[in-house]
Amino acid sequence: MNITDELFVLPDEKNFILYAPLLRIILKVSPSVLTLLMNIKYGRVIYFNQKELGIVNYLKTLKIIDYEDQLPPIKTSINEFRPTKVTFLPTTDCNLRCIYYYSNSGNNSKYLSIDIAKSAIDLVFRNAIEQKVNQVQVGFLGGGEPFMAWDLMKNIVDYAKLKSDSSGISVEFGGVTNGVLSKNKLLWIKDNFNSLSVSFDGMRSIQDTHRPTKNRKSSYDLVTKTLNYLNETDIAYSVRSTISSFSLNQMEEIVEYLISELHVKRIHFEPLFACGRCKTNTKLVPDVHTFIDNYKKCLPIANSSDVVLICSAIRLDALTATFCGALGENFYITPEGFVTSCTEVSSPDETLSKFFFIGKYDQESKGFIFNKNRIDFLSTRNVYNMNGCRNCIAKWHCAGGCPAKSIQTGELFNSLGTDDCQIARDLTEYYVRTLAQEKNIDYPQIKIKNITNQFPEGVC
Amino acid sequence: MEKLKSPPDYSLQKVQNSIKKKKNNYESKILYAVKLEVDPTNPSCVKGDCCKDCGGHHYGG
Repeated sequence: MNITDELFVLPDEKNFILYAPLLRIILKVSPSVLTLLMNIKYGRVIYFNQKELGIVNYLKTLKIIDYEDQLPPIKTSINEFRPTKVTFLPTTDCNLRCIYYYSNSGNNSKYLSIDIAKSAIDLVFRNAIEQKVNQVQVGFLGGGEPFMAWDLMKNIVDYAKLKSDSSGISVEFGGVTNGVLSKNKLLWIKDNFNSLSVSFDGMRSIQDTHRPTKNRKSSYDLVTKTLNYLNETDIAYSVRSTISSFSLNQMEEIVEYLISELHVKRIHFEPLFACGRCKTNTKLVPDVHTFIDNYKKCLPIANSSDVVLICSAIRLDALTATFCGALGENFYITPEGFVTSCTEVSSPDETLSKFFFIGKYDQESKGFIFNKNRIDFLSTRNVYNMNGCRNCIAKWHCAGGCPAKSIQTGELFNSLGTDDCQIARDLTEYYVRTLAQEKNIDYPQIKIKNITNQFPEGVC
Repeated sequence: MEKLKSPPDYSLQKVQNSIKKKKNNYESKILYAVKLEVDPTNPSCVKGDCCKDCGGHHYGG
């Protein structure tokens, strides 16, 4: 008999909590059950009494005993980079001057050319046809504020729809915005977008401190108007709030405010991190332990209102060997026609571009040239190659965390010591412990099914 | 509070000492069990697959 290797054991007062992430099972057991598992693991069992036999058989039905782990797959080599999704970073221009971005963000603006955009659209549709994929996805992110390049966005969407009509492949649009949008833009979003993420940091005092307009005036009324409009539509939108040291101790109030005043259904908190274009005054970076404590306090507030609260570092729903598409899968086009795999890295001047710039538009051939070696190297950054993650309870959920942050805080293959790492392990453990205490705690996309009543007679 | 350099090791091999401390409980018992089931109708991200793209940094919620 053997025991799954992917079993984590948390001491819990008089008992133990077992977490099998790949099986998505949490058990609370007495110490003797753990002794039984240890004896099985090390081949020290020659006889089971009747009760032990019942437990062993039950654990076999759960696949904790005598089952080969189904490990998340990795791409060992990307011989051909053939994306069917494209995300445009259409401009560096912005109508806000957020205090946590480069001081010159939005100045010296660059815009993507429609020829490059069309070439990218052509490529993803061609790839979809060849690979028999029935949907192409087109996204818009910063750089700056994507809707500052509205004419370009409209042209891209129109062109993609034409390609969709002629190929029979459906197309879906989504993006992010700072929420400073005219009525015309909002109507256009309603007609064209399937999803939208609005960056908005909370109450007036926080929003106007973090995210003033380029004339250093209030953006609060402009963005709340947008959120009120979105509530009247059926667009799936979320509010993404960056938490700084300034807003850290108001996280609960922000959640309460977004729910009660603006009727937001999906809230996304991210702690401020000095990364890529978000190079910032480090005094604004929040203390990670306080962030975690406050996040835990926010969960019941969101849960009680049936509101989704997430943070990218805690992802119980994901079982993966890689954190994100930056590891050799994303096809993001910068304003200058470079292909970056990481949303955080959009300028060739950034040091991280030597990791994440995986291609560029070639004026001569009117197509994209990809750096296969760089794509292949990025694909090796997975949790199997990260020794520090080996015995971590969160490893199959965060899969080593954000690669850009790892590089900035040390090295690509080691995320230990990053704030994300701390959040992932602390909050994963918090969720597991809470669920094992028979307490209600919601997590988006996860249904919690009590299987205690499935115990065979004599097990409990 | 200081950041941990390494995550706590909760592997089966590492808990032997903890078992000894709790050895006064000899009864083999499973006290509670839950299964986490993924519900595709309620995605964690408005985009539907944030983990595959931006890691949830931009889309999400």
